[in-house]
Amino acid sequence: MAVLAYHPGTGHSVLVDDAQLALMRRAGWMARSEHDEHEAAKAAAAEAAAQAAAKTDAKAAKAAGNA
Amino acid sequence: MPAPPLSPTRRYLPPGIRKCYFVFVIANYLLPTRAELNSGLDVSAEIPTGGVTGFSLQGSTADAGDMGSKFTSTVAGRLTSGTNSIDSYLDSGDVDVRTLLPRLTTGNVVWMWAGDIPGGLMDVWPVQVLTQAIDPNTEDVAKVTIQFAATRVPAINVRIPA
Repeated sequence: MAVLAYHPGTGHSVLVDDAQLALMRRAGWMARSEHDEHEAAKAAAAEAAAQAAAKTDAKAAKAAGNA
Repeated sequence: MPAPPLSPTRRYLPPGIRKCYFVFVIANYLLPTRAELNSGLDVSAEIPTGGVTGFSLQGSTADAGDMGSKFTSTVAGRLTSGTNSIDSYLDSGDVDVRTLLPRLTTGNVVWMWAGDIPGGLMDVWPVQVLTQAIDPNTEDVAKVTIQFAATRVPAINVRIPA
């Protein structure tokens, strides 16, 4: 089956088959879809961390206001 | 004063030194980057002794004679590269160069003549895989010949990036 391979180190993409990609993985290639999923998960984690930090800041501000 | 001699060469035997990479994508094959070279696969150790044909250019000339002389001068003509092929050993589990380079795959064959040493010289051959021909001989170690079409004029003597 054809799959779009992506190399994060170079930013290059190339259409290959599954078996080719299996060999190319050792040189850092991955399926483009895997890369996109990984990036989406990273972005979601960063957003969650930012929200948690904002919540902590709000709590601290409230505590300071009460004091 | 006579002409000075060329510096003495530090001679070497290619096995164990020469590198052959297959690199799928190079944005500018005249100037590959280190990241692009690292995204290729090193097939050197799978090439049997004497398993490389071609990967050199042949030049032709065109006659440019004139009425002023009986001597027929020539000018540089077309460049060609005949058969370019690489032999590779077969894997008994079928995971070998046949999987990496199926017919019509495009990419670049990179020859690092004295090894992958930054600052050294390499040739970059943009290619397309033409055929995979398995050696039918049963008395030799099993191997396949991958034949390539040279799709662009190769980049010769390019500096290997750090």
